[in-house]
Amino acid sequence: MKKFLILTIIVLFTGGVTMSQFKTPECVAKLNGFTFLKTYKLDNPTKEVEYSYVFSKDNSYMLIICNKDGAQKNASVTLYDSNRNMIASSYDEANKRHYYALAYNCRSTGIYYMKFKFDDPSTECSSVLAFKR
Amino acid sequence: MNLNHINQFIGPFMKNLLLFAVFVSLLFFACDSSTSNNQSDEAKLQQMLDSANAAPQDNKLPEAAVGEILKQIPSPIETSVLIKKSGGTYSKDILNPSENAQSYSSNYKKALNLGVYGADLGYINIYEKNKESLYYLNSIKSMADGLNIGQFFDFETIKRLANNNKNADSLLNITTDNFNKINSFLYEQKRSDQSVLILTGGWLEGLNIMCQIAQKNKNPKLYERIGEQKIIIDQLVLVLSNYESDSNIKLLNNDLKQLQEIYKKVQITYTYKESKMEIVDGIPTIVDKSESKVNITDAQVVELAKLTSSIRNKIVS
Repeated sequence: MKKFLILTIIVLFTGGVTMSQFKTPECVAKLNGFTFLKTYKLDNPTKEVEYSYVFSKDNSYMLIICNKDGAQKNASVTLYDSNRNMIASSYDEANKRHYYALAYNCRSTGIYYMKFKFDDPSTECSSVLAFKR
Repeated sequence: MNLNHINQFIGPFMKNLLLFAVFVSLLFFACDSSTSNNQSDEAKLQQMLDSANAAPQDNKLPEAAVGEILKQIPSPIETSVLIKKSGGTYSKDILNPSENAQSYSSNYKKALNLGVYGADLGYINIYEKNKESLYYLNSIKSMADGLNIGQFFDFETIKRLANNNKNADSLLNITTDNFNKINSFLYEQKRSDQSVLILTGGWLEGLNIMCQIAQKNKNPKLYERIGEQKIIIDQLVLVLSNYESDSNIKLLNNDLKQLQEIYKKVQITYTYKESKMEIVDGIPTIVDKSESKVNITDAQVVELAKLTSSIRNKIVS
């Protein structure tokens, strides 16, 4: 029952997020040698948004966060592995600095979780996932 | 959402729910003095437990969980890039001939083969065979129109891009984006079954291409990637189970379950180590110290290739 409650919370948490995607040429323009894979629409800045994807060993992945004006620095993405171990964040806590992207050289195939968080509630942006071998 | 989590959560919950229902029913039986029968309470309990275990457990995933899993499935483009980087030469013969498109009349076949042609197009694009891609774009258009999702492809723009080899990256981006939009649209329109079929068709085609090439060049990276598909097949089987009331999907999933059985023999081990981060060109870059290793034998690859080819042939025939 406890597990079901956890599942319900997870589903409710992620279920409110639409799967809609929109064109993000500003993001795509920053790919710089990476091949585009997916766009994640981040349209509800009042809460954290989580997506997941199977990353493959020996691929490099790039997550870019941007809005229609270009690089977005009021939102951050934190990456977790399949066991929910935090790997890294695009927000540098020590220096209170946001980076617009996060790159990951994957050496372990599995499901990874990307949690997006907003500092500014007026933020509306998207994220692009791309890869390079 | 992790597949194991879903399995762990839903399976026990449904069982607990059934057991709870049995428990409540027994309470009613115990309180109802007018109930008379010759069975002992113990026998009655046993009978009810047996029925609970025998009853089909409606382990249907919530729609949001289906959407979450679908978004996890990696793009066949990643497979195509790996094949090219591992030295695989372009082989048109392993693709589903574009002219087969005219023979797919049911929505089931159209959705599956839209996925198949999508994976083929990705493979063609990676090798920058832009002229060839035009034939496959026509097949994709035919499948997409048949499913009333043709509006997601601006075929005039795509064809213009395909006519110039310099536009290979743009062509790849635009077609990948179109498939993402289709999957999102189908999910929002409560047509997730078609979305699942498109993804399954694309995944199977990617696996088939990979198996055919791996058997020729015995590249260990390809072997490893074939083995890693163990993660994906578990997800696909789980999601397809949601739609088994459709007899076609049930048969397809039975085939995938056979493939899953072979995959059970493939071992994937993980070693966790804390990752390191450095700033490269102004971007935080994580250097992963964890590692996964796949143990897969030649015989297992042959077995997987044979069954994958057989399932894929049922789809494209």
